[in-house]
Amino acid sequence: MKTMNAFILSIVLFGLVIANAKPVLVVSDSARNFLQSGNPIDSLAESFVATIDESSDSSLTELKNLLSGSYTVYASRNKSFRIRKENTVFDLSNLETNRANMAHQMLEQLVPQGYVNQFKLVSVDIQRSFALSQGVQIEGYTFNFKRVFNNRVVRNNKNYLVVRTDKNGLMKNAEIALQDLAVSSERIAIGVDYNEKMATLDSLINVDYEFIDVFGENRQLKKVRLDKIEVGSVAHSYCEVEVGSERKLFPCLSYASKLVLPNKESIGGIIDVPYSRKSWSEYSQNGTVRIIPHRR
Amino acid sequence: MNFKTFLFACTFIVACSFATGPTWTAPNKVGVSAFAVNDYSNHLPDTLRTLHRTIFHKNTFIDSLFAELTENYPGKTKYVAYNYEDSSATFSNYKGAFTYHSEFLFFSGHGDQQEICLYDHSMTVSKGCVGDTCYIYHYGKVYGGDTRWVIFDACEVLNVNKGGMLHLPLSATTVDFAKVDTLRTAFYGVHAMLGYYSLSWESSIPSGDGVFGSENLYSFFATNFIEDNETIWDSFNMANADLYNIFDEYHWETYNEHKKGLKPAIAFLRGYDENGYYHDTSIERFNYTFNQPIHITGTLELFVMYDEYGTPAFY
Repeated sequence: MKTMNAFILSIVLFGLVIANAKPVLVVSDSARNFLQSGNPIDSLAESFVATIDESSDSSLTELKNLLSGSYTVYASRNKSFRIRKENTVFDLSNLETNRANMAHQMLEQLVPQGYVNQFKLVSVDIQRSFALSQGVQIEGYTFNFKRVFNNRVVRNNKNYLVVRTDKNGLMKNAEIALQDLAVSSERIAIGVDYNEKMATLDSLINVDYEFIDVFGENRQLKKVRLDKIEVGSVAHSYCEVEVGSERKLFPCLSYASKLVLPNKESIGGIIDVPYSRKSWSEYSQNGTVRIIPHRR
Repeated sequence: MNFKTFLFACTFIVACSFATGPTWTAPNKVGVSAFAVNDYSNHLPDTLRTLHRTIFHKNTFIDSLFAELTENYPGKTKYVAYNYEDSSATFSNYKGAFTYHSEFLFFSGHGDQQEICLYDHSMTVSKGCVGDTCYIYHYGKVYGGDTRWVIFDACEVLNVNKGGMLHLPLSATTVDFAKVDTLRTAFYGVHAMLGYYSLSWESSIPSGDGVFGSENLYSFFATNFIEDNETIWDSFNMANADLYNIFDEYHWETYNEHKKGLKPAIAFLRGYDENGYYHDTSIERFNYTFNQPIHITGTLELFVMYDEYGTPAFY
């Protein structure tokens, strides 16, 4: 976070294929342990594909009705709504020391019990201000949660919870978006070992993460070769995938990573990858299949 | 109504609003002064890249704001005081316009640190200097009177970092104190200025039979600010996030590239004024805004704020 760069966050990733100049892939101990630990999902040979029912909004409506008893519900759109309630304060004392615990407490306080495990914190945006007499101060936070469905993080931008607070945890508002999701009978092979997962990630890096384009001061894009990709944590997730003209949620792995430039500055991103190089091959043979990546 | 009559009416309305004494309420009227430049072929000393959607941005801002006001504040007086674009959005027209009668001032075009680029010349966002000996690029303009909010829909106007550090996060070592002070001099009663710490951008993507343009930012903003009664900063910040997500997803799908990010920013005032009233103008709402100009007196101080995206991690 400290090295994250305001304008380098404003990047364009290009899918350039240039051989023999790959960034170094570094996987943290915790990420390696996660992939090798025998997580219940890892013991499965296959996992079910999920489907999206675009014609219905019953999940959204149900949660909205549940929350309307405790909060003011407003800004209702066809895919999202916001809530607010005065004097709602979240305990942020564990923000730096135990973020998972802090996020869990926040969810327990905010949503009905049955929904607590349906969201996972993915990032925290920080609002900073500067004044001549005050220096730099933190003004507030935006907590970005993603929806968890069938024990997987849903990696599209229509299933989220965003909680906005001031620096003391006083709630400004929260925004929720949910799609109607269902598990289909279609299955994808996921039972591969750690080395194959790494080889799959490595093959994608070779294709998509060789260079990034960074905005320079002259407002011109500048291609910068990535020095290193540091994988910090991993999640079993659902990637939004286009199969022909259809969109589905395929079981996949999401690697929360830092993309490190030669000058040691870095940007954060989530790299969504199939479990193995072969797991989606059936679909590739039948036509186009590609992940639709999302910003957060 | 001729212009003099119009000005008299405005003055009368303002006088009436002052007569009610200082309080926090919705503005009695909503005037907009708006300027947009696409065509920079006559800009001196150098021409600048032609833009394509600034006039759409301006018009969407006005139309969306007024539509939301009509729906949510049907009795509210609203009018466009100035609506200049391209060859009429000149340096002298901007500088000379009596924008202090408008609650909103909107500019869309090229920009730089504490600078906006009008049709023929650029201008600093500061008090600037006056007189024949003043170098034209150092002319400035102050904002106050009825003007509560200024929107600079332009690159980096609210960036106060040192040269060579524009892209770095806000910190004690990156900030150029002189630039903060330069910006401060433009505050002459205005409550807050919205703009960008980063580059701003314009674009459009196919949508149905037409296109979805970046001007929708101001439709989102108007909905947030007027209908949803969010604070001025949250309204702008959330509108930018929503727009960015729509464009980012499309560009990934279509070009396999990320759309460049936005860093919306606000310059605002916080502290006690000389009369003992506490202000934090970043959290003013349309129905709860100080009904008088806020001058930098007492302990009031200029703050510049923006959002810094967090590094993703699965906790």
